[in-house]
Amino acid sequence: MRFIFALSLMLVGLSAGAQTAPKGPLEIRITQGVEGALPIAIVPFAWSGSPLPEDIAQVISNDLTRSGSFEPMPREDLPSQPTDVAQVNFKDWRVLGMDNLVIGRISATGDGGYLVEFRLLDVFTGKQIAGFQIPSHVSNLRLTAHHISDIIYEALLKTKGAFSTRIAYVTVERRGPKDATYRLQIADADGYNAKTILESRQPVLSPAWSPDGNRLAYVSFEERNSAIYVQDVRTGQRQKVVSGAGINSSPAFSPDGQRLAVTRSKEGNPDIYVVELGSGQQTRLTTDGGIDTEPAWSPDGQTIVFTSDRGGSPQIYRVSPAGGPQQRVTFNAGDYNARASYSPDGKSLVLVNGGGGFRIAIHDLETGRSRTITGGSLDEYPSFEQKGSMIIYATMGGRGTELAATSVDGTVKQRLALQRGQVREPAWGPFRK
Amino acid sequence: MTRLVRNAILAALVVFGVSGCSSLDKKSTGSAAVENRGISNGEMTDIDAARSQGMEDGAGAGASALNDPNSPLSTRVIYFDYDSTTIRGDFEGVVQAHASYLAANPGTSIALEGHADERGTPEYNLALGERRALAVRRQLVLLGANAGQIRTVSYGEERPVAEGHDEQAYSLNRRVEIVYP
Amino acid sequence: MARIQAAIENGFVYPPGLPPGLKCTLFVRVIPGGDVVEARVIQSSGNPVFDRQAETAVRKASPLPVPEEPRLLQQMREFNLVFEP
Repeated sequence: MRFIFALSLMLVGLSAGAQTAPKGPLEIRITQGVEGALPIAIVPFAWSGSPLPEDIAQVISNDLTRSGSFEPMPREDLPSQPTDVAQVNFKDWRVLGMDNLVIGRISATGDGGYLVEFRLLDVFTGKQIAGFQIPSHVSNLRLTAHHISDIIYEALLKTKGAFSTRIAYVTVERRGPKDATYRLQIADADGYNAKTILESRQPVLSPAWSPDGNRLAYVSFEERNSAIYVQDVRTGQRQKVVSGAGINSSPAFSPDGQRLAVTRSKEGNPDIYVVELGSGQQTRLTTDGGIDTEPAWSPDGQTIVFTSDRGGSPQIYRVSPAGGPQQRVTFNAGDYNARASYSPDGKSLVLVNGGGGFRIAIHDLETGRSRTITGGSLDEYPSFEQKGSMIIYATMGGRGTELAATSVDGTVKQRLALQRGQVREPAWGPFRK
Repeated sequence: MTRLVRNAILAALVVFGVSGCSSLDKKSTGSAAVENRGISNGEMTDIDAARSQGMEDGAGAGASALNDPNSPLSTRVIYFDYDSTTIRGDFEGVVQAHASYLAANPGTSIALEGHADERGTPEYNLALGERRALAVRRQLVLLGANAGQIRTVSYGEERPVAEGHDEQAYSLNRRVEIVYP
Repeated sequence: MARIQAAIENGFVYPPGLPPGLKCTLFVRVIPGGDVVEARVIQSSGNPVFDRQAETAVRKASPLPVPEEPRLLQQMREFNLVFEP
């Protein structure tokens, strides 16, 4: 979207025929610019041999395009395909209006191994902004491409990229009011390599990654009531960890991966419990008569925030994982604040704020103030990327649910995977090495 | 008055302790006053009579009272207002009818399935659905049913009957379904 | 001056979603003919992306349409560019 500001001109110390030297440096003001995607050229990486299973340059190009911040040059328009800095004629690229150029080469190292090398070049200075050699494998080439996208993104936009993360989500195929198939899936952030890890005729919800990315906790209604399972995503083995009368849901792994905070309503209304995964021991944390749900751990494991409507409408509260007094966190932020989760630095919460639509908001834990960072009418499921400064959320668009990421100050936005139809409950996994 | 198709996936009965009910008084209050309606009393009598006869007799026999489209028992869905878990006045008669039926048929058990519309977070909506189901259950017990006959489950926003994103769809999804075996 | 301004503004592209109110100042040095030999940030906007795009805009516009008249050109050898859209 082009956004053009008003024009004004001011010159200091220069007028036709002036004899006196200007006071201070000559100053020219630039008051107009173009807001748009940054032009970048990504050249196919050099490779000789039988065709590789992945076109790394194309994956990078797609990643950067999807982010909304870059406009890669179409491959057919590339004037040349240098694979080495010595082969680059920077003037060619300047003339085409490219700001940056990405070149690379791939070489086989035997046994299905590859070395992927790339350079990100500044077309105007001719300097290299970033360059790496990444060992890879035939089964991992897409992941390597995503890592390169992350590096390029971060080098040029100073914000961590989200291209090499995985997401877990639920898809629903509805055939009739009570006839649906629910699938819990894991995929790359761009939607590729989707794998169904559970398929059921009964609802599945709330997938939650373990901190090491090896396990997924989720809620399944396959036994005609909600129950919480923990499944190893590598082996497929799973264990039912919380079940019984009432609601058993909203699992959240502790930062050390040893405990789950959950919601159980077996005592009559939903309360927060902490479950030791090893021993199965459960500690009840809330006892009020309202709804207490959606627990989330602080990065240091010392605090659990949760949603409670004990005050009349959903707000965020905090409690120690060992139990004890509960304090309200959100004030003066409207009548609906739910599903909070911590930023990686522990200083703020991202949450869903409602009232005439639902949007994502950030709550600063030090100042106690909230601000909205998305403007959608039905934006939900926010979560901070681990180690990053991005927030992932789902937004209801015209084509179904879009998964998107935004920087913490609400500025740089990335669109990640676009799934046709219903995608629910996206949960972003930790970065893969 | 809609007729609900029998839910084939109803599972075994789960016995609920009555003690769980008292802590819910704070939020959702069903109608405190119980209306003593002539119709439901009359039906109870008919049901009893039919059972002892062992034959159906128009709108009388136990089984066919459930199947009678003119009976309040044929209403199997109770709808709720936005963000509300209070049983609306226009459904009080329906709840009464089911309570009476259950009281007269202690061997019959039902499931109450609570639902919410899609607005708001899924987990909070799971809790809202449960609150609605428990409100209906409490009212049924108040009106004569045995707590042991009623199993509740909440599906939150996960099983809508209407898929739209407007108030019309939402109003159809905020419901408790009464499911007989 | 308007021509220099226009040349730079044409190439000043910044990605969507930057915070409003950013301002940075660049020191620019040209040689006769307008080639930009130096363009560096002397006062950052605080946003490295904005700063970098400002620098890129100047380099993209090189050679700048500087005046040919020697005395005017002399005054244009070094100048500051204030980016404040």
